[in-house]
Amino acid sequence: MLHNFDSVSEVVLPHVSLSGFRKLINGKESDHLIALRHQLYTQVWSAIRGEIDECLAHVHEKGLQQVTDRIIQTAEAMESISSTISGAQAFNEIPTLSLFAGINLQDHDILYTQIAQRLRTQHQCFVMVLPSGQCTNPKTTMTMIVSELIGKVRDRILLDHDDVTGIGEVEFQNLVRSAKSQGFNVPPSYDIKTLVDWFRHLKSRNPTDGAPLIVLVFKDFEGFDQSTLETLIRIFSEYCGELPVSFVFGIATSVDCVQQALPKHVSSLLQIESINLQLSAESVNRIIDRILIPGHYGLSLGYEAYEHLLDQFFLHNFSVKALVSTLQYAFMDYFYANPLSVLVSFVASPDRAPLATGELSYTLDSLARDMAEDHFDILRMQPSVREYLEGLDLPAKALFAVLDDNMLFFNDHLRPLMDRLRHFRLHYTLAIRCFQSMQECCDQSSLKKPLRIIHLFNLNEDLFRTEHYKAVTKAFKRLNVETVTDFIRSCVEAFLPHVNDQGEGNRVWVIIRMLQDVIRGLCNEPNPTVTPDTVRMILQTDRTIHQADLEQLLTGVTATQQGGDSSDQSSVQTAVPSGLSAPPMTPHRNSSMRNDLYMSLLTGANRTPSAATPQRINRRLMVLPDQSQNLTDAQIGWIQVAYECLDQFFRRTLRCYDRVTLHELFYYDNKRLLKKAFNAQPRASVQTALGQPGLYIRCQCCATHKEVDAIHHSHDDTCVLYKLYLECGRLINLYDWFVAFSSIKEGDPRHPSPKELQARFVRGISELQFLGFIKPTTRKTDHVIRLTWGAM
Amino acid sequence: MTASTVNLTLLRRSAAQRFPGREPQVDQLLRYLGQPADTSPPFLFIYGHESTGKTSIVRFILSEIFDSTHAAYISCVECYTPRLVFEHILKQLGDSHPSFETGFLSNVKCDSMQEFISFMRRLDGAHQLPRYIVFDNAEKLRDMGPTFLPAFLRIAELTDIPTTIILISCVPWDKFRPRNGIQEPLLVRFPIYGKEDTMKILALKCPSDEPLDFYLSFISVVYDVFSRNCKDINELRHLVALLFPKFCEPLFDGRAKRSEVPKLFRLCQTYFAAAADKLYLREISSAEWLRHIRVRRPGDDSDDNSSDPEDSGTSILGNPIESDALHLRIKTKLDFDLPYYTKFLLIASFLASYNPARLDVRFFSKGKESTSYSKRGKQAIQKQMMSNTGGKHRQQLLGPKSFPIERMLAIFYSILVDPIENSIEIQSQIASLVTLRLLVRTSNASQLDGIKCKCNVSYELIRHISHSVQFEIENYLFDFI
Repeated sequence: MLHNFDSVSEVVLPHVSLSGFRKLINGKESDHLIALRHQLYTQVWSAIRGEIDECLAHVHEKGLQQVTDRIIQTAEAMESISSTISGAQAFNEIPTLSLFAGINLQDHDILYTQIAQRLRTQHQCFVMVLPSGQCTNPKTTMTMIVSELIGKVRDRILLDHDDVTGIGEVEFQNLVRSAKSQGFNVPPSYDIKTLVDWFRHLKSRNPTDGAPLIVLVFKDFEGFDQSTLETLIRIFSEYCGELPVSFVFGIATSVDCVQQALPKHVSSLLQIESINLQLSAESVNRIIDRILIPGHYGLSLGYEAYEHLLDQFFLHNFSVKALVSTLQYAFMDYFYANPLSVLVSFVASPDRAPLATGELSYTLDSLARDMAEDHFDILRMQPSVREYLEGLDLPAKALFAVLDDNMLFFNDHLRPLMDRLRHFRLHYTLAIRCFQSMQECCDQSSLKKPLRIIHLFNLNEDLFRTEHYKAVTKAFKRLNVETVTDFIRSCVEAFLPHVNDQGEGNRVWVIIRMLQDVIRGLCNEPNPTVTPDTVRMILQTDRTIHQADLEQLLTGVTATQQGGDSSDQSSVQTAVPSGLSAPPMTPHRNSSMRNDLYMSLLTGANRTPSAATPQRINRRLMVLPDQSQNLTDAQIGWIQVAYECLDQFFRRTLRCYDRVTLHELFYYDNKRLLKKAFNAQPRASVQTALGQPGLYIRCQCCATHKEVDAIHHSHDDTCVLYKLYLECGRLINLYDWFVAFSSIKEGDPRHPSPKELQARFVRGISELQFLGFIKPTTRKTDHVIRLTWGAM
Repeated sequence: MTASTVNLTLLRRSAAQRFPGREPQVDQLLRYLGQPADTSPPFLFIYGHESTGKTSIVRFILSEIFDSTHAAYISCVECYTPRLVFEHILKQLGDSHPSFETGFLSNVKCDSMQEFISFMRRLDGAHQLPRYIVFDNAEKLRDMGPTFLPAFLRIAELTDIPTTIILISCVPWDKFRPRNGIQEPLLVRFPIYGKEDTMKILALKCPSDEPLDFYLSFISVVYDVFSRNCKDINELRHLVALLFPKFCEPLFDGRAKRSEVPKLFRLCQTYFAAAADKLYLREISSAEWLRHIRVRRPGDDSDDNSSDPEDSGTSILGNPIESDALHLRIKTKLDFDLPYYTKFLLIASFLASYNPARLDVRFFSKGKESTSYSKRGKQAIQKQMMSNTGGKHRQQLLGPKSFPIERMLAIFYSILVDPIENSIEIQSQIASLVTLRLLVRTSNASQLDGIKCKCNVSYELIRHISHSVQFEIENYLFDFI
């Protein structure tokens, strides 16, 4: 799609700017815009990166607190246990916390650093994070632990001394010097006794505080040498009365691995508690919820790319790191390869719009001037824009003007379209969250899909067309009135601030206001001006509104309009069509008229009761739940309206992104590239390279050979050998192979000598051997064994 | 230095009091060791099961008879190198510990046996009393080189100082004896405690505010329940300490009296079962257990104080809530999640480990095969297996076989419902399964092609995993057909 620009311009692209970004559109893009794209990329990505970090920190926060609290508690509990249960101290159990942090070891580093940091700063613990790679035997491990801990104890002692008595580093050095003069000149070996001595001294210095807790973190428990672990545990258990030690095991699999790794007499020295800390899925959910769904920065992922991202995570690796890098790659590619990415700030939400600063600062107008003719051509070439223009239904002359006049196109069409896209996203985000909380209200667990899945559904097709939507709405209708009321109230509350921020009214806003009325009605708040029927009427009219009907209705209610409160009206005056299928003609007027109509109907409705309502209510009563038996008629009416309002609301907001004009520009959907970058297929690439070298070496002669399978003398030696290899059986006679090879190479106009051919043959063979296609065998002389099953 | 004499009868009596059921061993040891100035046997070997009192008794007796510079105690677990062994001995016999005053520096650096011997000679220049060196967990000494232990056993000859080596170990002497011959030790065997002795030892820890008879009856119940599985005195002590509050609970609820031991036992039975299940395996830690007990007594203070002042020591005991040990079934099984395809990789490697390779075609080929052939094939294979191993052995019982990665991948691609492309991701997941020890690599680490692995996963786990991806593993396992 968009990346075709790139390939088109490849031939004429000698200029590579400083940033590594290239001139797009056949090299005609201005330097200014390239710099702009680059700067936008850096800005957008650093902002997103920051937000991702926040998400991760937020997700980790609770777990971390739990972990540190538990460590401290258990350590303290040890003493109380020994007092409550007689002789518990005799068991020499080491308090141990096993953390089940999920299988992705790379993601854990940050977690354990955070834990260590927290324990150090909040509880003054001595924390050591032990990597399994460096703990291969008891000696190195103990040396590592003890030397580091002694350093810490020493610092602590010297520090305290400085504070209290003024004896510090200097004093200690004097002690060392005098000890050396008495023959004590051997540095102590790093064993547990030395450590105990240091600790004893620390305790004697300040007996009130007690010694600080030592926490040893075994980051990847599975990777540790079992006998080393055993030794460590036995040693520390022996001294656990004198050294307050606590272990943390980072376990990726299950608790069985502790029992597998340690014999009974050792595992009984541990007092293991478990905390489940599998946060990667939660982190991803949050990243999707906070970053991908709202698309604050103007760019979101389209269906395929999003699906790829989810698949990679949930089907393949569970790695948050990989997900973030894929995301970064997608963003980078977007700004790198799409000349229209400069427009991104104008669909971003106002508070986060990345606006280039300094020399590169720009506005929409200046940008319109900077953009070349080709930019506009590309814009008009987008399928959704074409559809839009065709749907305009303009007279030929006006249409021609739109197609011809860039500024006209830009100002009259592109701007509102971009605004529309932004509003679509805003409403979409709020609505999808509403929908999720609607799911939460339902009882069946099968209906409770995570947000990321609803988003996936929605990217694929309009959500209200899916089975899931139908099931949820159906289940929702069975809920009791209180739940529904609460839900609607929370929805409205979530929505209101955003609508006000926007300062604009539109049909979504109208529905929200209706919901407000519904709540009031359900709570039996006396409000004579509004009844279910009036609201429903608006809803009905709103759905099928036509210009003629509108005017007709308007004339009918203008008389009553004076009674309406004008303050509400003022807030909904400047309407912008948010609708996706909004009538293109005079959208502003249309929408504001609708709002007027709403206001007037509300105020005048009590005087114009509808004759058709009783039957309708009766008919709808059939679907109402049993709880509704003891409801008043008004409430039944209200709740019915509530369902309709919500349905309308979701139908307007939860639509598939590809219905929105300009979606090609602001939804990144290049799954193939992401796959190529992150899901490499080494075997397939090697085979393609050997079988179709023309794809990799763009030489002149290869282009002339049309048939793929033919072996040509101008091919690389290894490729020729590989193609011959494909025709062979399990055992390959080297001499036959050589003969076939030289007969092909005879076609070479240079006429290589037989010796040269032989040398090239040998080189090619060894390359194939290196790539793992053949291996020498002793089974038959002059033969090699074939290792692959051919082109799979 | 003049050696003081020790009243051995007194010592014997106090030892008997502290260590019930160990009188013969104490006697034997005292006979061998005698008075501090007596000549002593060169080599004692003390062995017996874990927690039979070996270390405590030896240390007690040595500390009573000798002063600290004459007996060194070395735990071979913490002295994992010869250098540490030498230096610890020298420090203890020379009575020098690094301290703050010496800047935590040491005056001993001893790397080899020669140096050690010369240090020993220098240490002992003044007094010629016998020295004792105790090696606990002596089986670890065998790892320190072939000459280490024999040299130590002749240390008296080498240093010209009477020195006794005492080895304490759970491993019998036969497993120590070097090939080139060595003097035979005097053996002291510590047998496992019987019921009577166990009860006596456990009774030592009787809470001061409980009648001894009542406590004894509880202990005997615990012993009868658990002794079949576990006679380790430490474990029993652990169980007793944690179960006793539960056992007493009905007393304070008023549901039973102290005399009604059978009733108390019945009320407590569920906890016993839970303990056997979880506590013994340390699936619930003692802290969690305790917390559980504490959770179940809200607002206890006023109750306890008003009802019975003598209970203040045991006030962790519960209040009248129905005693349902099902509470204890805390979620102990924390299952871990794997990515979808990684689960299939694990299933495929399980199948590769437990199915005969020649049946792969039958299980995993996409095309239909005639059933008659497969039936015959199966019978033939079964027959062969019977003849080879003298009976039908299920692979499940024999453990996993190693398999080449290629075979596992072939199975993997054939059991997948939707085919996927072979990508780098699959390879890296295999590697991560190996780091998680779910797969164990059996081929050499330096060998890059022809990697062989074993699947290190239990059948229960794999059934759980395959259930989660809706894969019927039973249909694909040879043992289950």
